[in-house]
Amino acid sequence: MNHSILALITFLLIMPGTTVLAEHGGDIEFTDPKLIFSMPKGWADKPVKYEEGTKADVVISLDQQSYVALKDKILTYAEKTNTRIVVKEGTCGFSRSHLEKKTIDIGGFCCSPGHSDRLPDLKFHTLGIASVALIVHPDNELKNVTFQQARDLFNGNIETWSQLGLKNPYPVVPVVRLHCKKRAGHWRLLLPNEDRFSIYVHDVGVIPDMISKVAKEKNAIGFETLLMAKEYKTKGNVKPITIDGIAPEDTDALIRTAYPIYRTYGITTWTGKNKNPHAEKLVRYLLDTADDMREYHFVSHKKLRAAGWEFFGNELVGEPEVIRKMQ
Amino acid sequence: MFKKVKRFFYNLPISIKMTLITILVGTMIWLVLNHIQTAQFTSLFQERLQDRFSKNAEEDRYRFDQSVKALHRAAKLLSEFSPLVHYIEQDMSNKKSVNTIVHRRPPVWLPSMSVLRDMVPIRYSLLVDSGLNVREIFKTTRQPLPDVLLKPTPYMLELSNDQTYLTLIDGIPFLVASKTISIENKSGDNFYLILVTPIDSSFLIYTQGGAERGNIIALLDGQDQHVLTSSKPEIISTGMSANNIREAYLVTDTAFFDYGAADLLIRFVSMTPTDDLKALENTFILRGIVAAIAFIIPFLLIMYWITHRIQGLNKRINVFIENMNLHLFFNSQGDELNKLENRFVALSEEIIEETKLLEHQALHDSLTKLPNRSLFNDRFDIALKDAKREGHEMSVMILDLDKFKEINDILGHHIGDEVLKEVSIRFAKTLRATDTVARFGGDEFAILLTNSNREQTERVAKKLVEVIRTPIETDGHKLDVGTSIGIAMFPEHTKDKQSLLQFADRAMYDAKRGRTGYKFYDPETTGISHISSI
Repeated sequence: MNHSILALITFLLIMPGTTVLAEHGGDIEFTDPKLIFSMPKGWADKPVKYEEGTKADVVISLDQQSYVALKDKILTYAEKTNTRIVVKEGTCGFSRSHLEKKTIDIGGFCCSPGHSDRLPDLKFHTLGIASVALIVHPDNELKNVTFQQARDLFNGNIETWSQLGLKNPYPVVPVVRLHCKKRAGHWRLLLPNEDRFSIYVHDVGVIPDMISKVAKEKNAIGFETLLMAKEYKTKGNVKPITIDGIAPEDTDALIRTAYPIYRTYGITTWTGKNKNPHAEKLVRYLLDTADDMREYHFVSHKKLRAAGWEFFGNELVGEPEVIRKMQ
Repeated sequence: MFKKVKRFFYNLPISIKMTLITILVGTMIWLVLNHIQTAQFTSLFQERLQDRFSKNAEEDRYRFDQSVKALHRAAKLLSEFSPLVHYIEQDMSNKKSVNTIVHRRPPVWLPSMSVLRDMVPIRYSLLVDSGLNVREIFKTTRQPLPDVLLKPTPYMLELSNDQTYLTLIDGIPFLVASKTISIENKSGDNFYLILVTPIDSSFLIYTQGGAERGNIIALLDGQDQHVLTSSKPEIISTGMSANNIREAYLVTDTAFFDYGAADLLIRFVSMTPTDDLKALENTFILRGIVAAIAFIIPFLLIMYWITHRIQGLNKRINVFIENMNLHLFFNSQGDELNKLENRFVALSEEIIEETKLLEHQALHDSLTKLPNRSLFNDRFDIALKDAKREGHEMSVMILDLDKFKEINDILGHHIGDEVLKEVSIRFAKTLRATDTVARFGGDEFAILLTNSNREQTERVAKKLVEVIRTPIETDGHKLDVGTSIGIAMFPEHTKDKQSLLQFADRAMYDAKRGRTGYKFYDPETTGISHISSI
């Protein structure tokens, strides 16, 4: 046993109350749209000013997932409407940062907004949702799990594949990407916070590594959207499994909340004096044509509204008559 | 000029010619293939290399990610560290001083250096009170804390709470993790622990377990694609353009990290110097050259073997020509193969000529060049068949020269031979092209007149007698030579070949005896006197 491990153990022993309590980082599925994040004085008066050298009618920053799904669509729109649009690729955090700096008109998010994303004068528009698939190695004989089993696979209650009745006696290797911890939805619909995940999880930092790790490790199980699994198929093949017999491709099941894990895709616009008519038109276009993204197994906001999902303005803020009981 | 080159090349020995062609064509093929293969190889090699290095890149990212996440885990852990809680509850809450205390050794509210070292390289640990005043700082570096961190904002606390906040300070990416310290105090004031570390080269080297690893990692500003920091600043320096990196290094993988709160988009890049790639390419090219030489050498040996045999064949043909005493004319220019071809053509033409000559000699009289008995018989057979089939008449003449024996005896054989040649010419000139005149031997001739009736035959016979009657001048002599012609008609006299010849022969004797010049066979009279005289 080396010196550093001994030191760590000593530290843990002297630390009282070492039990780390599971705590929610906020609401699980959605945050309260009425709670606006407090910003310093004068911030609200600051106008949107693009980064140096940017000449555009609209500047938009998209997260990695929305970028793949929307980029071409936005550029086609720009060409058709003769609008100068600059599309930046980024992350949810980066979109938020741009919004906070007021260097963009539209921010794109692949997570339901967290409290700190709700900046003053910022309006969220949900485009739709898409399933987050549980993915395993293609050789894994596992085809289906119950939602409880899915949770147990990641929280460590299920340690070997044989516990699921499979012939494989080897340990489960849960692979996670615990990103955007303070935003609602996504992996938090599986387990509400990072403390609920097993001590043995492999926490990867980027999407391609999730695909790669599951594709290479026969005993791995991970989660990612089908869109990203397809986008990073060069990293390896992964097999989506069903949850309670429902495939992640089954959008109807997702609409009726029978499929439990999903991402919420949203974009923002400014209200007040930073309102940009070009951005408003683009967002209206994206909302109107949200049904076009079926190829990504995407459920549009229109279908969600029709199925009774709860909206606050254009923002999705609640599931229809479903109360998740997280353990 | 072109002709000169062409001629020069034409005359080169085949071995040199083939060597040059092999090298020229081989080089061209090699250059084309090499170009294609090198491009394919480079692409394939880069793919393979990227496959290989992408695994390393994954590991690089994993280490980096774990180190980044470790900061907020450390904040979480240390915020519940009992000496810290105790220190806040007992000492800090009661101190109203706003003077910031800076520690260079771990203060009482932090564990020992050995424990801290195993968490993550925390550069600055800040104790902040509810008024957001930095009360104490523990720093593990000589560098001063950036000013912006001396005045933390609620905004910064919110973004860095429970997650790692990535922010850019003075062009350097910084990780900030904060946590509210769980204390029980009467005032209800909160205290915060803020951990800060810049993502500089030291941090990157630490995350990768040392600088000795082959891979270089760098963080690029995702927007303008410039290097923010790298694990080898002496090679990949801050501010360097991504394009410059790609020229000198094989970028094995790039990816974005999403830490939830980030003022900048960092593109994590793993790369390996392309020197190795270039060295491998050179090795590949060298192997290609070796392979090409290995291909050319056996080819040249085969060419040498073939040309050697061609040269041998040429020599044997030369010996053959010399032995046969042939005087062949052929083009002696060109390579061995051209010479062989020319010799073959000349030799084959010579053989054809010789064969024709032999054939001619077999069927013609060597003195008069007229058909001999053998050829006459062939033509007679054919003519007889044609006449029978077509129902034509034809005639056969047997001719004998008068006074020829005397000329031979008195003037000699050479004069006799000249007479025979002249007579032959006159016979040939008198006859149609379809007729045949043959020399049977001595001064005896035979003529075959196809498709000729009695009247026509008689006309020819008279002409023949007439042309021979004209004196023959040779070697100063003017010689009167006559001829006696016996004629048999087909089918009038007989249809049988031998009989026709016999009848004509008998008629010739009658003509000679009667000095009539020519005589048709008459079954009633021909040969009777002759037979009786015998």
